[in-house]
Amino acid sequence: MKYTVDGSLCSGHGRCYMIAPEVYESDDDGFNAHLDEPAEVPAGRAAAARAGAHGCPERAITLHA
Amino acid sequence: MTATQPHSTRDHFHDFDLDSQEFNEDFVEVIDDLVQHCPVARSNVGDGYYVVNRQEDVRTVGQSWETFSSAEGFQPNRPEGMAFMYPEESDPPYHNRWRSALNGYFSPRAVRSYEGSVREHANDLIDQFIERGQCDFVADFAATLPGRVFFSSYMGVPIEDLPPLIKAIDDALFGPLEGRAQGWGTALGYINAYLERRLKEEPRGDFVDAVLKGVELDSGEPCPWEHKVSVVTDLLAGGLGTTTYLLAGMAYHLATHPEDRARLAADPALHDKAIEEFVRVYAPVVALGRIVRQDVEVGGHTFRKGDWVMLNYAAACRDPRVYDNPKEVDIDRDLPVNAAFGFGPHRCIGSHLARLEGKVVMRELLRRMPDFSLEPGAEITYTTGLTRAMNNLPLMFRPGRRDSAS
Repeated sequence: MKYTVDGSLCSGHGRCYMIAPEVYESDDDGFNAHLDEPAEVPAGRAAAARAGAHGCPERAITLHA
Repeated sequence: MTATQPHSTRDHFHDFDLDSQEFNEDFVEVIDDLVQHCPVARSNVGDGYYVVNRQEDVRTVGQSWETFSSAEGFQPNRPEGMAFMYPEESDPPYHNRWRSALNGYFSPRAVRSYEGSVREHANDLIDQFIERGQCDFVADFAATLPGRVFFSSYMGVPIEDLPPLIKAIDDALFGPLEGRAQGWGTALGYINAYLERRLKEEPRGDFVDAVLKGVELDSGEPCPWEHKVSVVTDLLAGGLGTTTYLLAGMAYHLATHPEDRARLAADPALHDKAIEEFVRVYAPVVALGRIVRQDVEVGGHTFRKGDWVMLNYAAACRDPRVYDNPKEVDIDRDLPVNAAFGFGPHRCIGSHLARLEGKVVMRELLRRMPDFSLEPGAEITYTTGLTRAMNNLPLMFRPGRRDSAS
């Protein structure tokens, strides 16, 4: 499973890496560290990835194969 | 339409007024009516404004910053000569430069490092009334803690400077109208002098240094000094009274729902969800505004260039399209996204700090005054405008011992 964060929507609120720190990480300015490029969800972390995506107020995170 | 408004003498759909007494008194009923039956309400106050109530529409407006701009401020009918507050009253890209510079100090990780300091301030305040067995939780605790955390923990202001400073902010936010300008003047004067002093000192690598470093204007010039003072003011205006209301709302709920209190006392794993629910139910920012830059349709209404639109966060938090039984306070509710903090680039920068303060205070209240209840006959009053405030919360409890020796 992969995730993609829409860089035009991510506003650095920090919900994704607060809810699922094992999947998402922040850059130095608080935004998701992987904007606009598919990034890998670690094996066995699909549920956490979904919870983090669900917690994004901007709906900036898409999960995909 | 009239059938949906049994609670109030005012027609809040066509003649809304954030500052009206009817809205203040029938607050919950009115926002429930608005979010259920009125996607876009109209106000005739001053030059008039619209109010967007459904969560989906509040998100759309909040995200569409090019169409719904913050550059002319967050309120319609703005008092003449009122200085703008940055970054709140600006648009990207300038806005985002400030957020990037400051975000790191308010991130979940950064905020965790303040936990011990928040706990010390909380216990110091509880010490001052714990032996008495009663307090006004607003005046004696909730109105003071967020200011202490901000000035002392974040800004490094010496603790002895705090009482007059917090009093000035309190006057500015909640005091009699005629004293508010003076309250702001005092607070701004202090902040200005404190920043000037810090400019001459060695950098501490803290939040104040980030403010002093500043960011570039869209022209590429360094931002002026006034903007730096304004950034601190903005954080104060957005972070103190709002957290006060969250803490007061939480204490009110716990005082009046002993079954929830018993569960929370027994199981700290329930705290995170409960805090999130208190933020939803006691959403402190009722509504903030944007000015429309081009004709656009939202919520079935066509807004025209130059219109003012208020985003009703308090109503969006009670949207039945998003939440089951939104009128119920349910401490087990799964609430991944909290509309109380807003949407888009201007979403609350202090959300993680607010949650932390809520969590620490809940824990300390449950530990030190586990049986607190509302004083019999207490009449709680509120003040409502852009924000909602609880004016008083008289609590009683079995007297306890002070934590500290002093």
